[in-house]
Amino acid sequence: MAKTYEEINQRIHRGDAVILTAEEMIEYVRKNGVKKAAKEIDVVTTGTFGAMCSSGAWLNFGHAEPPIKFQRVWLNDVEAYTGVAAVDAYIGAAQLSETEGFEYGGAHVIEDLIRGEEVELRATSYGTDCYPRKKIKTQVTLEDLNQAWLLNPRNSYQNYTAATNSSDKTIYTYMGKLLPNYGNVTYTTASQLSPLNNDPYFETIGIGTRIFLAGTHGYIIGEGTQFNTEVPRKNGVPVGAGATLSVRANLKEADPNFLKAATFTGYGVTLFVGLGVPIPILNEKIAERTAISDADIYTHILDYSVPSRSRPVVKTVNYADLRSGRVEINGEEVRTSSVAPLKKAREVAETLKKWIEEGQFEITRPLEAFKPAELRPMRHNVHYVGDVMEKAVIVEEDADIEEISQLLINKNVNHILISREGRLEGIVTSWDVAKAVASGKKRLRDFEVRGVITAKPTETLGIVAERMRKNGISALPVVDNHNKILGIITAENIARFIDIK
Amino acid sequence: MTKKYLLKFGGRALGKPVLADCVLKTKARINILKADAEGNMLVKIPKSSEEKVLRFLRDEGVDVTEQKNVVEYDRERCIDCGLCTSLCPTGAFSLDAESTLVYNEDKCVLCGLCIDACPRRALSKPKF
Ligand code: SF4
Ligand code: SF4
Repeated sequence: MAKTYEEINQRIHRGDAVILTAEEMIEYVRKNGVKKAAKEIDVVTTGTFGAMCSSGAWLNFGHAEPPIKFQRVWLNDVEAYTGVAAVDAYIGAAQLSETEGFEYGGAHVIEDLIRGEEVELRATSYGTDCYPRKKIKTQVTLEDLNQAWLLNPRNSYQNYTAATNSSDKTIYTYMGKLLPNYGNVTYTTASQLSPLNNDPYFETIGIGTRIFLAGTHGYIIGEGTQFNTEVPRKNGVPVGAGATLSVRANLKEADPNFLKAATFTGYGVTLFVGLGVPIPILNEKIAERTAISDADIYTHILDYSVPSRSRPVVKTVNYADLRSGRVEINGEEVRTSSVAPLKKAREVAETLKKWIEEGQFEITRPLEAFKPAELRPMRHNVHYVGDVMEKAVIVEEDADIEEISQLLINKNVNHILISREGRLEGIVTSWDVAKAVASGKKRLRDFEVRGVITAKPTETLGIVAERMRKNGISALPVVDNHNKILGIITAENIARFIDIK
Repeated sequence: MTKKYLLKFGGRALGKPVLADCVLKTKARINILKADAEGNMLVKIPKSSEEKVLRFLRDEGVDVTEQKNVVEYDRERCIDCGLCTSLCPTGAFSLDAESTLVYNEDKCVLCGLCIDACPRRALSKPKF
């Protein structure tokens, strides 16, 4: 039996609509089945409270006397963007303070403003006939501003990858501090409570949908940046980062409880944003999707020690595993933790539920549906090992030293690969050979060839350069998945294309 | 083990030689470890006279708290993200059934791993 938006809103006004949070819906459907849920439940509320760097606020400060047209503007030493009209500026959450660096940024300015604190406004200009003033310094509060809109280009990721670190050093990322040797795993989504995981095909969520944002009513104004519908799905939900939302709310109505500034050491400043979307249960299909639970939502744990856009997948897990606090990696138990507080996500979903129950919040039919989109990488020249490698000089493993030293000289190379029937066995450098000759060794197997670190043709030069640097070597054999020798890549080959740190 | 205490002199306890009186009265060998301009003092009190000293100081209006060698946790700043739970090697942090952060300071060995991991800067080394 299908319901309409209007019918649900009528029930909300009469005060007899049945609202559940996405977590309560899981239980309800488990007990009563989808059919009954579709009939009895009107709205399911979702919630998330994640660190969302792509957030910020448009502020209008009003005109000074005499007036100024901002050329540059700072709020508590954090620069805001003012390449628009005279006294409008956008303070980005991730912008860092010029005096306090990582410990204070745009997110902190926003938090200070909504907590009613005074913020120092400092602006400079070139001065014009109509805006003669060249600088100003004053204190302002949120109340003093004409408009203040929270306007976030990308919030509420549908799902996201989890992070770990295979290297032997601690790394600091936007996924938090990652301890060496798979010391921990971090993840970021509200999973079963997350808005877009509960309506994964955007059947009720679209442009114009009224939502909970930062403790007040907000709106979805479009797909978020990096919106991606082309990620492989499992149980309807993308495995990894999928769709996103672009949202707006009145910052003057925001609740400091649902906007919190944060610093990720070694990464930067970000803003935790509370966001919840109500999902009207129009039919059984929608009811069924809102009953999705952590055990049905999967993500990849990626190795963040690899400094590349395409980080290797260490393991694919579901959120029930992640929430348990431990996952197994290579036979070892590894502790997991969330970057995004589940407790706050619940608070968002509960608050939204209360608003609807009290008749303060109507659901809306989207004005326009989201359009499918694919995530493209930046257009710039990326070079792959396969394009840059050269032909390797190869000898069979039973070759003698004499033959090898001749090859090194004749072919004018520094590295020779050792093969057994085309498969890589090892690598010797001219230095290895010189030492072997000096110590009277005759055959290859009489001296040790180095343990072989290799490269794949599909890897990028950046990654391979980093591997060489880490291991203190200047060439890598290039092999396919079966260890068949394809060529060799040297530091010189790479240096022609990129700057190695 | 001799415990460390943080003494805060304020209100009634200001402007009186409280500590001197205390030593005279209790004959306890109180060891002053640190003191700052705001009237805070970190002291070591021998186990044998601990009870007497604490009673005396509290009676004189001194704010006395035991100073443990553990990470300081600011509940007000914490958002219960739980990030610290996977960093602490001794399991001093955990999330309860409501997903609220629980800090079991008896487990903290002050290794410091969690401090720069907290995105809300709710964790810090003891100031004294
Ligand atoms: S990392 Fe900080 S904010 Fe997060 S739970 Fe721990 S103490 Fe609280
Ligand atoms: S300082 Fe070390 S032992 Fe103490 S809570 Fe932090 S991580 Fe755990």
